[in-house]
Amino acid sequence: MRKFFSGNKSLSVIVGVVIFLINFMVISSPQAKETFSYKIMVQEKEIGKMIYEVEEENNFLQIKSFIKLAEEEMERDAQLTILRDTYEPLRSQKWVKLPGGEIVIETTYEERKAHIKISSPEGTKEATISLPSPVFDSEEIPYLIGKLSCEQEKAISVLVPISGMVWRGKIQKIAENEEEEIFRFTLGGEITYLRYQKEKPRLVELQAPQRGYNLVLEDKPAPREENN
Amino acid sequence: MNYLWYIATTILIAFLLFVVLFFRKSKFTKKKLLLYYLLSIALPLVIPYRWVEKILFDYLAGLPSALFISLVLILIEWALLFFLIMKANQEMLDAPEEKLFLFLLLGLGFGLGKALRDTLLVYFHSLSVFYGYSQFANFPSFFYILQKIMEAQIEVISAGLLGLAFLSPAGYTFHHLVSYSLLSFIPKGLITLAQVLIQFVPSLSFLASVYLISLLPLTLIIGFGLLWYLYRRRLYQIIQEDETSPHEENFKEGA
Repeated sequence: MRKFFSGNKSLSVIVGVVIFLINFMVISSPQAKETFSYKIMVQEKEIGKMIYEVEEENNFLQIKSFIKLAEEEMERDAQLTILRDTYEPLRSQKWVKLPGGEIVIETTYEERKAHIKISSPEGTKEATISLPSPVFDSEEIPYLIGKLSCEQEKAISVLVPISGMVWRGKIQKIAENEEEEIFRFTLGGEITYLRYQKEKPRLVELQAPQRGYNLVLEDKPAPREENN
Repeated sequence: MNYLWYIATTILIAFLLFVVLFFRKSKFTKKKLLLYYLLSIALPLVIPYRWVEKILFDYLAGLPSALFISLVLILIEWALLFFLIMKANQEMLDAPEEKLFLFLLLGLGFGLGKALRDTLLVYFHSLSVFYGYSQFANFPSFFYILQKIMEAQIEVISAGLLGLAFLSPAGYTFHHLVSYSLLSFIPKGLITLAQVLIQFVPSLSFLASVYLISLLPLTLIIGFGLLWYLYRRRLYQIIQEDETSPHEENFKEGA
């Protein structure tokens, strides 16, 4: 035993272990975390902020969004785990504040099906839905569209957990220049316009005329206080 | 499941009330009335026409498209009501009043059938595979049921207005059919327009808070008022036609 740990062999073993540990730590630790802060604009007036956090972990991306309206506390909006390569969702959670309380919609994606659970002050409902492949979660749309390769037009399947139905989403590239590209996205009868920066793909502006608000990227991300 | 029972009980009570109030002394058999009522309830449950909404929304978007899709749905419902009324019009009834009450019963059955379908979807979401669009996040409540029952009465007004086209001793004419069909669209159209505007025009989303407490009741009051006025006018015309026709025959015979 002593012989084994002596001389060049022991040195190479120690170096090997150190390299393995460094690699393991690098791979398992969060690789990158980006924060995007958007102003919520209603009729040209800023009514609050929407903050997206995108965290890369191994082969997954974790997207968290938070809403801060006027003087109110920052509140969680949604949380998603998607595959880094295909952007297919694994799990999503959405919190909806209503006058009567909060609704939590949790979706777990499996092979060609999704399990949706809705919890509200009035009770809990669960459903299992068959899915086409590939399918995306409606909450990942602002992040997704700029990443998907779309030359002119593309149709995708999107699960909208709150309606418990899979809809056909249509992406159309309507304008492009050297720096940016603009897409028109339709889902369930609603139209959304999304402007993305090309160089480092990220959403610059989102216009939702049917919802009556726009999201505009701020230059400096707003600091977020933990409030879970 | 309580609210499903409430809807089922409403369906039963509505039928019994209709029979007691309007068909107590009628020679028309109660069994036939029940069959007509069940047929009108079954139509929206059996025909999955709301799939049209889902399919069209997969390809169309925006306010004009939403209005177009709603119009298509109204037209399908009009066609179903028209079929029911045509079928009921073949029945030999003593008085035009009885015929109108039969048409109203068909409208009520159709409306309550829609209410039953929507409430079933709330409890059994997997039925959306058959019925099309539904909101999984819906939880039934007293107000939900109240809204569905009030919306069912809009169908009563539509059936009544459409039925007036058939209430003529000379039989219905194309002219009558077109004018009364257009009238029967008004209450359904108003309610559907409000629903689309609430969903697609953010500046009008405040209508959602007054939909149940003022928009629906107001449409019902105006609708039933219009139906009553037109029915009285039609009755007057029928009486006039009955009074003038023997004189005309005598005049022709004399000539």
